[in-house]
Amino acid sequence: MITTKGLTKRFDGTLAVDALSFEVREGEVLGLLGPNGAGKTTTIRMLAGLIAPSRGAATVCGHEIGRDGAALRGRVGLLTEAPGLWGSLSAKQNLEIYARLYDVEKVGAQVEKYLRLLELWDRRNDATGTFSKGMKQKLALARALVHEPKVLFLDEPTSGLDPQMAKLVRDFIETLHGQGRTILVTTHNLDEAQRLCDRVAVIRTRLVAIDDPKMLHARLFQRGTLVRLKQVEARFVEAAGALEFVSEVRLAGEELHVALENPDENNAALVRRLVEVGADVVYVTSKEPSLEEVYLKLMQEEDEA
Amino acid sequence: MSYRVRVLVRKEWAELIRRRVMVVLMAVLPAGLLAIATAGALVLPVLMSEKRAQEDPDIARAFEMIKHQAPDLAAMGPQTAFGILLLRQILLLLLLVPIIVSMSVAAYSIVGEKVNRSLEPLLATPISTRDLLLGKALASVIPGVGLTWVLFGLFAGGIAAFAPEGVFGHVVNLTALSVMFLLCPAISLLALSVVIITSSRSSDPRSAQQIGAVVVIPIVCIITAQMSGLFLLTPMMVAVGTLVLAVLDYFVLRAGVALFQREVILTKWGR
Ligand SMILES: Nc1ncnc2c1ncn2[C@@H]1O[C@H](COP(=O)(O)OP(=O)(O)O)[C@@H](O)[C@H]1O
Ligand SMILES: [Mg+2]
Repeated sequence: MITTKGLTKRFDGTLAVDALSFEVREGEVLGLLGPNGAGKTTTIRMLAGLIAPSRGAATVCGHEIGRDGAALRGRVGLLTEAPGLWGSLSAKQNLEIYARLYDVEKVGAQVEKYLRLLELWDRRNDATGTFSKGMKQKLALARALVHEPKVLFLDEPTSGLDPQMAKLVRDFIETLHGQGRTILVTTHNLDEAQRLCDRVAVIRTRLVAIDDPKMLHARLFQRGTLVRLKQVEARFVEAAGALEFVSEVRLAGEELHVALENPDENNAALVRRLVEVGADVVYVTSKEPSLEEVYLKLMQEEDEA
Repeated sequence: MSYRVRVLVRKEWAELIRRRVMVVLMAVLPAGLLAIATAGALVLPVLMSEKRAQEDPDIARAFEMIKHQAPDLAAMGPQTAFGILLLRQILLLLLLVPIIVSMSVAAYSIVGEKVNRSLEPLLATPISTRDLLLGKALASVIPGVGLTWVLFGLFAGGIAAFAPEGVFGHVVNLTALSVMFLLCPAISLLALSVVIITSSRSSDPRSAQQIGAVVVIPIVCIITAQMSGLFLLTPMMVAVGTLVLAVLDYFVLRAGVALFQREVILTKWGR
């Protein structure tokens, strides 16, 4: 549905996006993950036909970007970083105008559908300037959907929302995923990316990594075991580190983070050894690195490179 | 007018209606000035009797000038002719109303969307640059010209009711009608298009307003020329002028589309 090849954007002096190549398959949710200034918004703007790439190419819904801008823009939906509503106009007016600009046939029906779906129907006649941040975001989401685009670009859809509203928006994105829409969503919330996305592309001007969130873990981290002790002493760390199947032991408070080859096989021996040297084991669990750790590690590797 | 242009114009007006106080103020101000000027033009000649002209050399000189400037009014008494000339100037001043009234709306029309961050979603729709600019221009020109026509109607009504016999026909004549209904829309569209295009190119709406003010200069020239008796507007001149302006309008909009860089305005300042 979306293919980019060497997509590059330079603003005057700054290189905002460098040679980005990736693909988003039909019906897939791809997370674009990266710190502030990584080029996420710039990438989305290029793909949504708002700005032209300096180099490289991309096709979205079969349209090459930079060719027939209007046709491309009509086929995709964009949730911009800021809701950008017309504050003096009502929710209904905002949505109706966009429905018309997008050549929607049954304007009234579409507007009602999305206002109801996003629970804004009761407030449809209120000026959007009076809306809470979450309501504004929901209306902006409705605006991106009113012409039923197959491809959706969502630029930080939950940023700045309270947890409850963020969950609502996330659930809604999952519904959209279930409808088979192709979604490119940017975020710097790793947890969110993990929950929403089929695959995650980590970018920092360049593409750092792209994969299934679980595969990213596996690629970057060995499996590990977390052992909580009643009290940590240096000799426990030493003893664990001396075991041949252990590659690394990190200490975090009263917890030992032990990287080892195969927890299913090695855990028993690890615990036995710790008990032998006099440690009181409180509990043992498997340690799954969070996407956050993956991300930080990737960024660290980037810095070193 | 394309569908999207109409949608945009209606949106702009829906926003304008929400700012009732400003709209009313914008309309009341020129209306008040017009009323005062018209009243003055009707009262002044009455005060300038022939007898006073003999006593006051200034008035005598004014009467002499009128004879010279408006040969078509030779048959009238000098006071009446003077009144008619004043009313004709006021009519030309009405040309400034739509431009002044809509100037700030036009200057902010693109920049305002940008500041409000509503420009990006708007540009993300399939709307073409031409439709965007045309919609913005028409949305500010139409109410301004409409207001001017209403004021013109009141002006004509006032003359019909209060001016001496025969004045009406010499003021609200074919020239006046062509100025109002041909020249006024054409010149307003030109001025406000220039303002919108400049404002889309500059990061500061105030500078756009200043450049827009430059467009007012030709109008001021026409008014001063007419006042100093340099030439007398005829319907033919107005028609030709309108045609020239219409052509200019077309090219200004074309140039505007070429100059309007979606990308630059989207990413230029504030991002
Ligand atoms: N119009 C612009 N002019 C100059 N630099 C820009 C412009 N827009 C973005 N940038 C730069 O490009 C980089 C990427 O920005 P952006 O795409 O907004 O990042 P993100 O959305 O990931 O936070 C940043 O370093 C930013 O400063
Ligand atoms: Mg961004």
